[in-house]
Amino acid sequence: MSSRDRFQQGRAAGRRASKSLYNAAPIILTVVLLVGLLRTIVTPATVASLFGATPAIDLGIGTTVGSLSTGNAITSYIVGGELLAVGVSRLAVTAFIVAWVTVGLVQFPAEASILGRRFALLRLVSGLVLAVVVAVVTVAVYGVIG
Amino acid sequence: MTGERSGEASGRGSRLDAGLLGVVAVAYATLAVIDPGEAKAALASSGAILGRIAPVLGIVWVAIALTHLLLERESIAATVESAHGPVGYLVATLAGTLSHGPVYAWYAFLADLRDRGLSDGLIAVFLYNRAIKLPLLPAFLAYFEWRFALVLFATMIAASLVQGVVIETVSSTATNR
Repeated sequence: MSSRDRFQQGRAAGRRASKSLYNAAPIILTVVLLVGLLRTIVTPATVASLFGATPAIDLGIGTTVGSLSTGNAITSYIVGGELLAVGVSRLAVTAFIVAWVTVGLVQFPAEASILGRRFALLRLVSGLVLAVVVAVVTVAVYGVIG
Repeated sequence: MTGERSGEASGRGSRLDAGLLGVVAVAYATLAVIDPGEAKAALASSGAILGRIAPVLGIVWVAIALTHLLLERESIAATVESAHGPVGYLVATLAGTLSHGPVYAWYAFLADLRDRGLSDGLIAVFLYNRAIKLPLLPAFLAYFEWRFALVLFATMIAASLVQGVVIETVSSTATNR
């Protein structure tokens, strides 16, 4: 391959990377602005009061909200990190992030249509269960080594 | 047909993102009228977050560009197609973590591979591991410690294999009835 071909390939890869981030930019900006707003008008005590009743409730809230959310994974990292910073439990945050990136409620119709309803439903249900399991195991192991 | 569907879904997603940004902008405008000081504080808080993640997004850009340069969707799909047995699960895991682009485009590829014999279990493993986006790792580490990342992603890989085996078992049972 000539150096010119390599340059063209590199430029094409750069353009595609730019397009990926450009497509994600609106939702990232929205989330950042929303987090800034909530940090100002909602006290950490208020946020923490929604969580922390019991680990099971934390898991339930984190998994439910995460599975209903959609968008670039970066968004889940930002929201999860900010929730952790205001005192939400690592268990809830982990369940939230895992459910966000693995449970595709929003993509379910497309997945069911292309790959079959039974397959999509199996993936959805097992994904929800596994989000809880992954959160519990991750926090438990991290608690030992972290 | 599938391309149209993925294009429609992307278009709807873009409109939704723009709509949400509009809603947040209205919220800021409302707060600015009610309490300008709080609005300014909220903007400053958002600015601090943006300042924190901006350099990370630069690293992410490089990682995504490298992924596009080194790994084409067709070669990933061909690798997954040739995978069988326990090694197949390993290949599907690696391919999932390295795959990129919107999931809707991958559905079409996977449907085609399934017609050519790829099992439901391997498809499930591949899709689950797409959640572990290696190019976005710098963004994750901006908020979470590396040990936590290691444990989380290792656990997710294990979970993907469990999901793959379960779905494969159920699919095979349903087919054999």
